[in-house]
Amino acid sequence: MSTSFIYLCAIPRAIWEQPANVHGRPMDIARLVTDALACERRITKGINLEHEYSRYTLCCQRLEQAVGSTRLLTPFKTTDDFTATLQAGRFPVFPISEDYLSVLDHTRDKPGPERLGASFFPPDTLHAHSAAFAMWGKQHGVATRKGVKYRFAFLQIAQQAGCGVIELQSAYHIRQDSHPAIANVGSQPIDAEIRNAIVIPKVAHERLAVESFGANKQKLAMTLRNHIRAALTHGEPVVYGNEAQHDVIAEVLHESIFVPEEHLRQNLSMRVVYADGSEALPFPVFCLPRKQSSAQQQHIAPLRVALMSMRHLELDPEIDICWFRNRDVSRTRTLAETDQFCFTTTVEQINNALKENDIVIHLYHTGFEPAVLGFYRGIIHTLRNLRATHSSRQLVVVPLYYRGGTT
Amino acid sequence: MGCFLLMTVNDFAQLNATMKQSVRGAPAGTTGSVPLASYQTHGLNVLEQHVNAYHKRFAYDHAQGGKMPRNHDWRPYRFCIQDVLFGTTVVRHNRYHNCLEIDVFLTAPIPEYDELAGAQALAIFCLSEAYKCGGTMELRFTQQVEGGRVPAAFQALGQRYGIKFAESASGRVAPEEAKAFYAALTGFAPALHERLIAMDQTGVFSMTRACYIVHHGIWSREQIEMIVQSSRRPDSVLAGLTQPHQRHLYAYDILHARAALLGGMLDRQLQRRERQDEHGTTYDLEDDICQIEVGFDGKTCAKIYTSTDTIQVPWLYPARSMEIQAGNTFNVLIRARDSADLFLHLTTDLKLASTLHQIRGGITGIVVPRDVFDVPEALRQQFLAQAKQQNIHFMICPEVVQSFDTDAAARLARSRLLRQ
Repeated sequence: MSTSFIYLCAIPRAIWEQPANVHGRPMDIARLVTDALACERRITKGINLEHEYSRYTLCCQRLEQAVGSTRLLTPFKTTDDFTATLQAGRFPVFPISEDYLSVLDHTRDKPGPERLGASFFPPDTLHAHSAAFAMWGKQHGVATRKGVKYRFAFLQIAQQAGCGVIELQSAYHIRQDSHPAIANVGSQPIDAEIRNAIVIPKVAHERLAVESFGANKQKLAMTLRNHIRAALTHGEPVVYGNEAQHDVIAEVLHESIFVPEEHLRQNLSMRVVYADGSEALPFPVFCLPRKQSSAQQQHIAPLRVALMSMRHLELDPEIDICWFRNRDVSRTRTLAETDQFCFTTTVEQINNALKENDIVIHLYHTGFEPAVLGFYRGIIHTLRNLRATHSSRQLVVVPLYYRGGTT
Repeated sequence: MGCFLLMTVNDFAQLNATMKQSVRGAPAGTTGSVPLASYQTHGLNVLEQHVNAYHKRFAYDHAQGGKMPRNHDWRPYRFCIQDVLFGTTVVRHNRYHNCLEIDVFLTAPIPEYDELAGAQALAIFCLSEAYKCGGTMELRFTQQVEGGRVPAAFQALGQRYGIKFAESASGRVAPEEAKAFYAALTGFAPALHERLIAMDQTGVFSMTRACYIVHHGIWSREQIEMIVQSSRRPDSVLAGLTQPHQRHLYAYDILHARAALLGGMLDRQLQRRERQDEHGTTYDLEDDICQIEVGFDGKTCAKIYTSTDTIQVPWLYPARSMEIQAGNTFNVLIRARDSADLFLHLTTDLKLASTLHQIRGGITGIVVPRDVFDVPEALRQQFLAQAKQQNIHFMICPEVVQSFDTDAAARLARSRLLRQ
C-alpha cells in the first residue's frame, strides 16, 4: 500500500493576523483561520452539522493549499537553519511519517485535547496545544513514537520563534518502512483464549416479566436470549433494531445484567451492533450482584418519566418529565452515536439527581432501541459506580410499557 | 444495470401478460412429479395476492408515493432492465427467526441474456435485503416457493459458484452459506477477496458489508480494491468512520476516496464503447462496454489495464488520439492531487512513472485532475517536457479536486449510515 506524509510548516505570526496586502507575502490566511475556528466552535454545538462540516473542510483545504503553493517552503535540519529560513522570508517545513496518523487513531472515539488532530494551530494556541499534546502522548503511551517526538520538537521550536503551525498531508507515496497491514479499530473481537475462559451462566427463566407478554413476544425474547448467548460464546455482535421490540430487549437485558446465584462476577461484555451497521460500545452483562429492595425505597415518591419526548403524547398526563428531548436524540448520526449520547446524558442526569437524594424512576418506555440501550447502559454504569464506592445512595428503575390505556 | 422497484398494482397489471408468457416459455423441467410451470403459475397467484394486499395496506404508487413498508412487512419487488422483466420476488424480515423470508421467487428467461441472469439479480437482491434488515443473513423460502425448497434457479446459480445449500430441500439457506454466496456473486478479484476475508476474520471490516457497499452503489468493486490495497485504514474509508472535524484522519480518508473516484472515472472512460449511426451521430448502448481486466498496484497506486478489445485512451494532454491494441497492458499512475500538492510532488510522481514503465513495460501514463491548470504555465510545461522525455503519457481528467471531494464526502457520509 502507498504511504502518506504530514508536512509541518511554521508560519510567522504576521501572516496569521494580517491580510496579504499588509504582510506582503503571497498568502492570505487570516480570514480562513477565523472562519475555520468559528466552524469548530459551532460544530461542538451540533447544529446544522452538514453545512458546518463542509465549510470547515473547505476552509482547511484552502488554508493548506495556500501554504503548499507559496513556493516558500524550505526543509531544515537544525534550529539555526530554522531561524535562518525564517529570516530569509521563507517557511521552515519538516516531514513526519504517517505514524502520526496511527497515533491520532486514539482520538477517533474520544477527541484529543486542545484541538489535537486539527491541521492548523495559530501562534496564540501553540503553547497550550504543545503542552497538552506532550501530556496526552505520555498518557496514551505514545510519547516515544517517532511521529510524536518529531512533532513535539517542531512545535516547541515554532513556538519559541513566535510562529503558528499548518500541517499538510500528502498521499500516494512509495512506502519506505513496514506498517501493520490492518489498522486497529475500536472494537476488536475477544481473544480466543479469553473467550474459552468465559463461563456464561444459565439464567433461570422463571417468574420473569416477559411471561406477562403475549406468546409472540415470549418467542422474540427466547430468540434474543439465544442470540446473546451465541454472541457471547463466539465474540460476535448482537444486532438490535429489526428483531425484538424495546420492551423485550429491556426485559431480556435485565435478566442478563445480574450475576446469577452461585456464580462469580465476571467482566463480560456483549458487542452491540445496530441495524445501520454501526457498532456501539460493548454492553456489560452478568456484572451486578442482585439486591433486595429496601424498606427505605418504598417511601420514596417515584419520579414518573417518559424515555423520549414527542413520541407518545398520550403519556403526557401520566408523567412528570421526559428523560431525553427528542430533538437532541433524533439527529443525523449513526445509531451507535445516538446510543453514546443517551448513555452520557443518562449518567450526567442520574449523577445530578443522586447528589440530592435517592431516586426511584418509573420509566414509561417510548421505543427506539438506541435510546433504550443507552439509558440502561447509563443506569448500569451508575449502579456499578455506587457499589464500587460503597455508596448508600439508592437507585431504582421500574420499566413500564404503555399499551394505549393500560400499563 | 437495471433496477429493483416495488411492484404496484399498476405494474402488475402491465406486466401480467409478460409474466404469463414467461411461465409458458419456462424450461420443461420437473421437480419430482411437479412441472416447473405449475410452480410458476402458483407463484404468480401468490404474487398477485401480495401485490393486492400491499396496495390495500400502503396504497403506494410510483408517481404519487405513499406509505413505505417496514422491513417486517411483505414487500413485492420487480427487477427490470429498461422495459424487460427479469424477475419478481416478495420478501420480509422474519423477526422470530431473525432471517429473510421469501414468499415469491420468479425469474423469466430472456434469450439475449444468460439463462440465470434473472436468478442472479434476485439472489443478489435477497442477500442485500437480508443484510439491510440486520438479521443473520439466513434466507428461508416458504412453502409457496416451489413447494418449500430452495428454488431450482437459485440452486443452479449456487452450483455455478461451487456453493451447495445443505438444507435446500427444506428451503433454508444457512447464514454461512448465504455469506459465501453473496461474496461469490459480488466477484471480488482474488487478491482483494483474500484481503477482505482477512479483514473479516480479524473483525476489522465484514465481507458482507463490503458486498453490500458494492450492490448499494456506494463504491464499485474496482474502487473497493483501490481503497483496500492502497489505504492503511481501509475500514475507516469504507465505513466512513471519521468526521470532518478530525481533520487529519478525515483528510486521509478523503485523499483515498478521491483517488478511488478518479480511478473509477478512468475505468468507465476506458470501458466506454462509442457507436455511430448512419448519420455519424455517436450514441451509447446500455451494457455495451469493452471487456477490460483492471488490476491495481497498491504500492505505487497505479492501475493496470489489459483488454481483449482495442481501447481509446481518454484525456491525453496535449489532446491527441491514441489506441491501446488488444492484449497490451496500460499502466496508469492515479494522482488525485490538488494544485498545491501537484506543485510539490508531480516531479517525483513522474520519476516513479518512469521506473514503473521500465519495470512493467507496456504503455504507461499518469492521470491528474484538472487542477493542474492552476499550476503556473511555465512549471506545467516543465512537467510535460519531463513526461515526454520519459515516454509517459500525461492525462488530465476534466473534473477538479473540489468536485471529487464533494462526491467523496457524500459517499463517506452514506457509508456511515449504510442500512438507513
